[in-house]
Amino acid sequence: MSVIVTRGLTKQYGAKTALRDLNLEIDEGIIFGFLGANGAGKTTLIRLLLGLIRPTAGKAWVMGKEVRQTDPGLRRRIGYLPGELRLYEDMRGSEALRFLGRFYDVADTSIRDHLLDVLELPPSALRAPVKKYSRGMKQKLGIIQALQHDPDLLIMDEPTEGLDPLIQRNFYEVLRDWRERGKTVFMSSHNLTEVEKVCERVGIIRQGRLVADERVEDLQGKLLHHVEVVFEQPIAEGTLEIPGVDVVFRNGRRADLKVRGDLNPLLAVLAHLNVADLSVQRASLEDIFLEFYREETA
Amino acid sequence: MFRANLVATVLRRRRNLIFIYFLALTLFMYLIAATFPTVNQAGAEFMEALPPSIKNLVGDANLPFASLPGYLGLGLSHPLILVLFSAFIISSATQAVAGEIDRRTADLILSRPISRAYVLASHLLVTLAGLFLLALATWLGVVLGVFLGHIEPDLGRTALASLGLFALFFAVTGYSYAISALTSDAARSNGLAAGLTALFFFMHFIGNLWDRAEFLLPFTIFNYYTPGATLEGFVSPAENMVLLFTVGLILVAASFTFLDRRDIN
Repeated sequence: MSVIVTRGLTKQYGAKTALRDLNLEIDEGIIFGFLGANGAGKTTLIRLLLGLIRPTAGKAWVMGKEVRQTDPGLRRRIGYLPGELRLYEDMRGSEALRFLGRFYDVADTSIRDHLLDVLELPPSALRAPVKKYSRGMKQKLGIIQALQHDPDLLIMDEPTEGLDPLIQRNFYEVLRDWRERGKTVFMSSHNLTEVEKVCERVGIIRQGRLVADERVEDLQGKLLHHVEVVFEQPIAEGTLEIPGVDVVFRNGRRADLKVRGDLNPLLAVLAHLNVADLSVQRASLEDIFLEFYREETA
Repeated sequence: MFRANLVATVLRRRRNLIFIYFLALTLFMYLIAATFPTVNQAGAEFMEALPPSIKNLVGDANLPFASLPGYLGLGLSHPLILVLFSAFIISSATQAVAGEIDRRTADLILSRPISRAYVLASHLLVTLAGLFLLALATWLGVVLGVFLGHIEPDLGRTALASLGLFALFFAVTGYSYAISALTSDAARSNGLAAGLTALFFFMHFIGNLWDRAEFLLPFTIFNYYTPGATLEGFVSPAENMVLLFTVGLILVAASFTFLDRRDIN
């Protein structure tokens, strides 16, 4: 079952198109990473999914229901962590969690207690006013408020901003547990290593358009490879001029190559050369991301 | 079912302000009541000698300011009262929508399983409860003056005059909420609502001061607030109050529509 579906979703702000013709389907029980540069349209999509803004064109469905601003029932099953998290500064941490949790009629505090433990937010911190919290503590509180009512869909905008590496690791465990329980996570992130670690599927958005939507492994395998070749003897100039192959580094018998797309044209050329050693590595998500943004920055 | 969670939180934030304003208004009206017997004839004559246009500003040019009802009416139209009520209403309305968006807490609250109408209604409930208490304070100040033996006014008419104050600021509540529901910036919302209130006051002022600007008077809400005449029994305030409540209700309803249809950016 698809938890999030969008069809032709478009959002314009005056002359500026923040999101254009977005078609997306996210299945239940996965962690979906949504990547894009600042202003690419990540937060716009999140706001559309939550009904905070209206689409200029197209539609979105969340858990089978069309998103409407006036449908609070749908939001009962969603946990949301905003990107630029602002909490009620005059409240104590415990008050903020209670206040935000009461809207869901969930009396059981076991999830909250577990998260407080895992994210290492001690009771003494909860007694302090939020205005005295560090960035990391606020983020922990934000994560807990999003999860405490046991939502079926988690929508998180840059969830690990401000968290130290140890807590980040604990948080990834929380997300994996969540997925194992059949829940769905939609997270936008700048942290490509993080997305690589925890997400099964990834969407890349550029200038409001979805330019990739695949399983992380497929994206890594299909799009970009790093190839290191050591030849028996130096090769002639121009031998490696193959469409889709960039020579990153060449020194005597050794060449480092970046291959976009299909590997076969390169392998066909190498088959006629004396290769002493060959190493092929799938690119990191960061490489892929930069590849998608290459045209823009060129 | 209307949940009290948000109402309780908004009330907790506003309670200190309401409490301080309540005390200040009670004290102010008590002082008005307590000073009436000691206001010397010269003071009364001075007030009586003011040009009708100026006297109109504080109620009615035909009012005898040396009389107790006239003097209490003067108190209920005093700039201090108008400023305190305006400050409370405008800041409360701004907090409801523009303030939440400006502080970026609107995302958090509007992603809960509640409607936008619920959010607005919760704030409105606290604003109107606060407004009621502030209006009550102006009456209690006079009651305190009666209790301590300073004056003996018609407490029924005094309550009606305080109700008129409630009606005036219910209209202010209407446009302040409508402005807040349309804006995303707290300073802008405060500025526009305060500016509109000042404009209405200026229209009332200039309309009373200058014959050629008299046509402005029907268009300012202050024209329908006549505490002195109400206290004297010169007018029945019902018509004016109905008009102010109607204006307020229409604008409050509009603010619900504005909020429901807008993007939260």
